[in-house]
Amino acid sequence: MSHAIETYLDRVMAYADLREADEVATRRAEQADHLNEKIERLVAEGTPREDAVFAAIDEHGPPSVVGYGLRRWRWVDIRSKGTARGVIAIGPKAVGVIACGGLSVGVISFGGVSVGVFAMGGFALSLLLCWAGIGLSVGAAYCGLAVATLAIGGVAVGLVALGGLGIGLLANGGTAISTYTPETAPPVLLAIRDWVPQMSALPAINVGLVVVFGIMMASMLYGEWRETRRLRGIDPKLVAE
Amino acid sequence: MALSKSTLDGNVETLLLAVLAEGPSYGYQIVRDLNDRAAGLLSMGEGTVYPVLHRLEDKQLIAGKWEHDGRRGRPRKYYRLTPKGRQQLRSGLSQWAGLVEVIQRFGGEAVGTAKPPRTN
Repeated sequence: MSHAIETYLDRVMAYADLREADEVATRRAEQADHLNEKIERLVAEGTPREDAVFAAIDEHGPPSVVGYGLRRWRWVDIRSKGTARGVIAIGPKAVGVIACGGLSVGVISFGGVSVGVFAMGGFALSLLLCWAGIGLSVGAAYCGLAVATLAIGGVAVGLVALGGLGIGLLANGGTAISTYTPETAPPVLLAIRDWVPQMSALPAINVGLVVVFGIMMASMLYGEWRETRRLRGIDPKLVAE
Repeated sequence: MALSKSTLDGNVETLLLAVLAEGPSYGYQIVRDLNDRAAGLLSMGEGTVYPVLHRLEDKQLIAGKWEHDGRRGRPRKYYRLTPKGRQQLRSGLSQWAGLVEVIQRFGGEAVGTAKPPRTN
């Protein structure tokens, strides 16, 4: 088998990161069989062998796509490219119970754009609670720009809104545009307002959230650094690919 | 025009099951069958078919077996459709047919292929 094919398969298997030696051998053999048959067909059709090898590799797909596709489901899935999927998922895109990534979807999600039951990040979309630069939540949002049932932030828009600029049915803040006053508000709005912790506790809550976010971001960066180091250890060109 | 990845997502499994419904085959041959019959509509890397085959195998919709071909020195993995896979294929094809019908009803007019309205 040509050196180029061997190198390509090494890279595919590096991304796949399979644990069972038997599975590594059979998966690799199957891909090699495919590539060899493709090359033989191209050569039979008149393509020079060297060109046939590179055409076969090119048409097989990028090693990261094929390799990560072969990867088995795992509890902790860390990827340098594509979408990580696991109970804990870390990658450029991540889907998991706990998901960290540029784009993350999970029960608890962290990242540039995060979607989850609980979500933290630059832009967050959440079911219960989000903490973000810009956050939209069915439940509560504590964000620079917060849109939620209970919205707290620089600009807060919601049924109950508290912020520098609060806009809502029951709003409070530096500037408030409010349909009701606390005296005229229906009980349900007052009940939602009562979920808000004491204003004096907000700085401490904010610090706590910053710490949690920092820990998650550090875990994500560490995970990606480890994956990059693992790949670089197998083939330095994988990291530059 | 090649079909986009989002269009293919979720349908590649049915395509592979349909190829295997015609008889046992192996990875390269399956890809060739797909490409020959799709006439350039499919634009997926050939290697990306293997994760889908393995997923189908894990779901027991197909069964893979390494077999020796007399003419070749090396064994090759052949895949066969299982009864469960055949059932899944029928279900997938019926979903497709339903989707095509709906699209034709709603979007056919735009491309001049709309069916005449039903009259009761």
